[in-house]
Amino acid sequence: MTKARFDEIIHAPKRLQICAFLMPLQDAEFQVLRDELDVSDSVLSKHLKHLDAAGYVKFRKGAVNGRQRMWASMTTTGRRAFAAHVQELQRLIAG
Amino acid sequence: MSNDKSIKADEAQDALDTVERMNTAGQQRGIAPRWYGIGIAIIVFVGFSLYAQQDPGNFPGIFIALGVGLFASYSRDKIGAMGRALPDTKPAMWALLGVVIFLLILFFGGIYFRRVYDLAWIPVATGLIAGMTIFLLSKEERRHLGKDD
Repeated sequence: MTKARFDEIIHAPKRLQICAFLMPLQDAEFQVLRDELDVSDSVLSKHLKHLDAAGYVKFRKGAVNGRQRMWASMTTTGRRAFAAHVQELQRLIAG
Repeated sequence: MSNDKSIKADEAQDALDTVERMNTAGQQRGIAPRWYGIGIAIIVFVGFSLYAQQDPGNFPGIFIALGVGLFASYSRDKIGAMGRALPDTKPAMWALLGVVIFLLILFFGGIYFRRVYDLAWIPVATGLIAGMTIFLLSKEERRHLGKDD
């Protein structure tokens, strides 16, 4: 069972959105994430780098129709940390 | 990497609302389009049916594996996101296992009846059942997540 734990890396608003969006997915393309979060490429890159440095997301690059694209996905560590963070939020609300 | 910090309940509630909203958005985005289920169902049906031939060798199995793999890869590139292949909950995992076992029984059953009793129509019939099962499951998933009419 996951132990409730507040995670400051995940809790930042945009990073929380990124993680929550990626959780039900195997992976998502950079452009899809950018459009869903309604942020610029640089802002999204910055947040993804934070999550990557923590080992919470990983990337895969590939070419589609001759254009380079990047997919992001949550790692097992990231999924556990996110689940623990959500549990902690629920615990805080329950008092 | 992580540290403890206390936040107020209303901030936690806002964060949880965001999580729920983005989680739903992710689920919606990861749903394969209608043609995906139809495509996989056709590949499986054709693959199973190939066993109706006298001696197809490994070709049908390779056809299904390659066909499904390439089709799934194409779909992911096309829609930009892919839902998780493995479910999170135990009941859903058991349900998936049940479907896989059911499809394997159909697959090997078709081969057995073709080889032992020379019934060429059996692989076609099991292929039809397998294809319909996949199509109906994909349709049900879309309906469950509010993406079907």
